[in-house]
Amino acid sequence: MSEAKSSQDEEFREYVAARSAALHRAAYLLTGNWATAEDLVQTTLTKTYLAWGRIRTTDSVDAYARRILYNTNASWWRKRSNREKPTEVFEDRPDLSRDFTEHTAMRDAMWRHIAALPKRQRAVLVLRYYEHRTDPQIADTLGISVGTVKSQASRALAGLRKRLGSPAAALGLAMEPKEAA
Amino acid sequence: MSEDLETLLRSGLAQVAEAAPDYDDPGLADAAIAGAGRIRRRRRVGAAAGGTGLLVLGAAAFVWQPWTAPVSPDEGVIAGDTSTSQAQTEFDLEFAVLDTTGGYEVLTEDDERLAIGEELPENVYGMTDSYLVETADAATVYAGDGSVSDPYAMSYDAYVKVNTGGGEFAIVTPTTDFTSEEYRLADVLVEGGEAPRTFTTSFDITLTDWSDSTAVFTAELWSSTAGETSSAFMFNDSLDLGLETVAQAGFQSVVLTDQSDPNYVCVADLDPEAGTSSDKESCGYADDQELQAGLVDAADDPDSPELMAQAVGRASNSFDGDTLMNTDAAYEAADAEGFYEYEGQWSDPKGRWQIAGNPGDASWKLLDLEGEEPVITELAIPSGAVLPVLDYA
Repeated sequence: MSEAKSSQDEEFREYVAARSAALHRAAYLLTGNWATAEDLVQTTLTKTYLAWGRIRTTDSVDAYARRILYNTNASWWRKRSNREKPTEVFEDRPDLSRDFTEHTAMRDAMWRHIAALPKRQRAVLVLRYYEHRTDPQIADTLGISVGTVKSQASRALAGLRKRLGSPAAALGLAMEPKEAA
Repeated sequence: MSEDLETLLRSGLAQVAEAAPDYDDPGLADAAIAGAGRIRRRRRVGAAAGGTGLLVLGAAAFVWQPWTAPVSPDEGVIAGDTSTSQAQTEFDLEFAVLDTTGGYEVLTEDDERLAIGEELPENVYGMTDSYLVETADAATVYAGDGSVSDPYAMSYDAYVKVNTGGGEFAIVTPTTDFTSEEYRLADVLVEGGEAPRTFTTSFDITLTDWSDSTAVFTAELWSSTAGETSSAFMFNDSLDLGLETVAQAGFQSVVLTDQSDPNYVCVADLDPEAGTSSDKESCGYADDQELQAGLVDAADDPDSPELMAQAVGRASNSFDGDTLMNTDAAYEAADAEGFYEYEGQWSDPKGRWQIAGNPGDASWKLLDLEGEEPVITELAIPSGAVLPVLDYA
């Protein structure tokens, strides 16, 4: 192995060591399934390494990897979405207070609804509300227009709002007015 | 509620992410390096294949690799230069296949299967969160969760168009006198989707792409305008293009790209509420700042110039409508190999590959456009493969 390649590989290993946890978390939010998230990150890193020679000296390595992550996931949804179910129970520190229990239930309800969203809508939500990206940044990552980002986010939020309804409804403690009528 | 929901999303997603198990695999980077090495080796083999098989046309070197490997019946596939799994991995390639019971399935890039009905598909499109399956008389959406839409009926002369991103599709039906075409635009949600939008436009123009605000058509403009940039053309009025029906379908603007010079475009401002089109169209070149500003104003959509630019870019690289898209050099080289004489020809909407093959063939020809040089290889296809999925998502 040449010295240059060895050096490049070492840089890549350092990048992976520094960023793989963040990529895994994002992949987990996108896929809702840890095994799929691992596959997604592995594929993302393979594709990133293919381009490593030309991106390693730029400031956009992470943006490049993120773009691959999100777009690879977009091409994966079809086969997986009907087979894999999102994790529904999260291990939190025990806290028996009523507020905490309700909050956890609300979060789990929200997560179930997010997991049911179309992949692109979910990606927009993760980028906007977890990665705190601006709409132009999201558009750049997903390779779509800013208008599409906005419309996808709007549809996702409207869908979530409709499904969650009131906090009580989200927890299954009350019926939606329309259903009760 | 909106702010509450957004706050909940921020905190909830962060908590879900943090609740995910720790992942610390020291072999992750090396596994990626090894995987990339395998892909590179395959491409090098293609690029370096025997000199007798190397065609050089212009700047593009073209490689033909003969099919050398034997049938592998145990695996149900033909072993070729490019294996099914390589195509699945490198191109996210998916196939519509005949299953063992006489129905059809999509074989995904990860070898999983989704049933897509009992009728032979004429095309299968990869859409946002679903597949759109076009058969002889209907188009049907099959969602990844297994739900299926009601079929959208298609007459024998109708065809399907899909917009960039795969969020919507159009069923296009010529009128009985073949002077105009009826477009029925539908989203791909099996449940909860909006009612299809419809419009009818002259045969002189053909829809190529669309967003919520803007519809892009091709038309023969140059012969009428001689490339003159002006805001005085009145194509819709004088040629009865039917753009007012596009307005009635809710679009804010129309872009017409010239068939001869796609960079030459005309923009029509529509009024969806009144269901009318502007009296005249503004024409010019797609990179003209003033024209782009006019489009943004007409569409009330800052992204409309991007939609126009993408459509112009695709049209500039297209030599047969939107069926085959490639560089001229690659086309000529593929043509020299008889690539386009096969009955089945498919192009990746994202421009990564073209495939040609005949029904019942043991393997197909794959034109790999991802590398620095276009390469033709023999593609091992899965058992029962009838066509590749065209991925728009």
